[in-house]
Amino acid sequence: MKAEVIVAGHGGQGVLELANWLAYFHLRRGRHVAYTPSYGPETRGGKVKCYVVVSDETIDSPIVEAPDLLIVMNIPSMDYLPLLKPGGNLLVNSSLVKDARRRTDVTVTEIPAVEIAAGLGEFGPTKGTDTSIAANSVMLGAALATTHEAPEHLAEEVEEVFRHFLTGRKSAFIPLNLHAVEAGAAFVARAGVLAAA
Amino acid sequence: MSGDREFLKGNEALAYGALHAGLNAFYGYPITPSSEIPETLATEFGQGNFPEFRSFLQAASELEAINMVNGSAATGAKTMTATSGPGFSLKQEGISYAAGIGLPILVVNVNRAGPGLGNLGPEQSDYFQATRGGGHGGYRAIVLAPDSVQEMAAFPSLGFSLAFRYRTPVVILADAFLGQLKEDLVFPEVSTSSFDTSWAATGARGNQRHVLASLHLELDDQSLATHKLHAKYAEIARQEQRYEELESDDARVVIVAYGICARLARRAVRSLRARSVPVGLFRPITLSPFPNQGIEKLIGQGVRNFLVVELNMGQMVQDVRLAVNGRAQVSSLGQVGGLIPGTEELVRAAEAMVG
Repeated sequence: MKAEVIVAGHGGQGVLELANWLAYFHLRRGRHVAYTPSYGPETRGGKVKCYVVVSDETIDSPIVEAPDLLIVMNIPSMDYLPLLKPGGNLLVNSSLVKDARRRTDVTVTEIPAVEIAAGLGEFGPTKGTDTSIAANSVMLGAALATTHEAPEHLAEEVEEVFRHFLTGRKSAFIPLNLHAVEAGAAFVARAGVLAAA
Repeated sequence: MSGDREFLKGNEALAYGALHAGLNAFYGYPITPSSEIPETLATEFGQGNFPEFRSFLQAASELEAINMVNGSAATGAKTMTATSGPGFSLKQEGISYAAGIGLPILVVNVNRAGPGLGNLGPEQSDYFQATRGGGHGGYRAIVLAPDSVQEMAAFPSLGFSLAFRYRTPVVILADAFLGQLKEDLVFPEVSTSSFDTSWAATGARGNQRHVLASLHLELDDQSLATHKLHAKYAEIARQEQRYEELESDDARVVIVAYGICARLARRAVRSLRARSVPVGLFRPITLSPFPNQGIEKLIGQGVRNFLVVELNMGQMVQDVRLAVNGRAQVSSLGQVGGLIPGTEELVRAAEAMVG
């Protein structure tokens, strides 16, 4: 198994986190992983792009030139679409990107990640928390489901990933993010059924 | 954490690799893209996880840091500093003193784009400075070039063992890409055998007096000291050349690359081999001493074409030309400014040489 992924969006959307989580998920499944953050100011609003390579074999180059999977979180990141391999998967945060169906040789899945995350209000660590910040976890769930990497015990597997990264005060956000992952995976599963029908 | 699979940035892995290797002291001044090294060490300092790690200081400047490193190393302590281009330049005077005195210091340079302030992207443009002895006087350092996060973790141990065996500065020359890259890795088991420090100035009352100096006012004395230094370099060149090969047995063209470029070259070689184009990879692990023995072997095998890929305008290519000595064609492919050449660029250049 080998997959090359580009995750792109803007600072504040949790792009680096999403890419880290995706890589670590595969590491825990015994795979080699490489994660490269984009250079430049990692501040809110700045352009952020990450490469993730996961493979059962040793990874030759960590640089992704032609991804199998492209995760787009905002409109400018659609610029990476020409790089996507024919037959590859494009996952789009359709809360922000409305015209994603620009190529017919790739599978496009539109996920209203911000709305899905916002609807998880009851899992916010405190009452009244804006849970739309978990949109990146919705996209993680969608990515795992799209690449058939959503195991039977998805929640348990992903919880271990979150426990690794969300420590201390951040651990209060684990339940919210877990539900966001499950919601993202469930959305893709439903979309898949619709597409098949 | 030894034995478990970790997921760390190259810089973090290097810091932990140094701690696993028994690092006693670190002195530095932070600079992007190397700052995670002092950050990681500062986090671990005083936590008790690495009891041998007894001294950590953020100096007021790189000059201060490298001289603290030399003072610490003079006591026989395993001492390291880490920096990037501009800081590496500032540290050259101290590295020259360490070479002259014979101090086992470990200097990490996470190469960014230059010259001057440059930018924070990856380059390999400090190759000359690192391999030729970037300071004054005729010295050389041993220079190690990792190409993965795994090697970022492993090379501090190798670096210290070489530094103490030969009492010489050792440079780990990484690049901004490797510093920021995160990969899975396993911390290697490190032998805890201690090094010979019978030469060190430990300051204990009653011990034999050891004078550690690079000052030789008598001309004959300096001449003798320099000849001894270079006899040591000749010994290092005989014993310590390290390299790795990929698919080079029947290769007609061999790509020569180190660091992140070696990773690009691996992909290019596999892509070419998938189309039965006979291209291989030669990866110097020691940039100094340069692995001439490996080039010699390839020439003996009949390789007549070398393609040197670097993130500079052509520096290592000079060492390859010296090793080849006119017996093969040597071409250079460089990229600078923090940019990385594409696989297709390497593939086309190598394929053109196959003819």
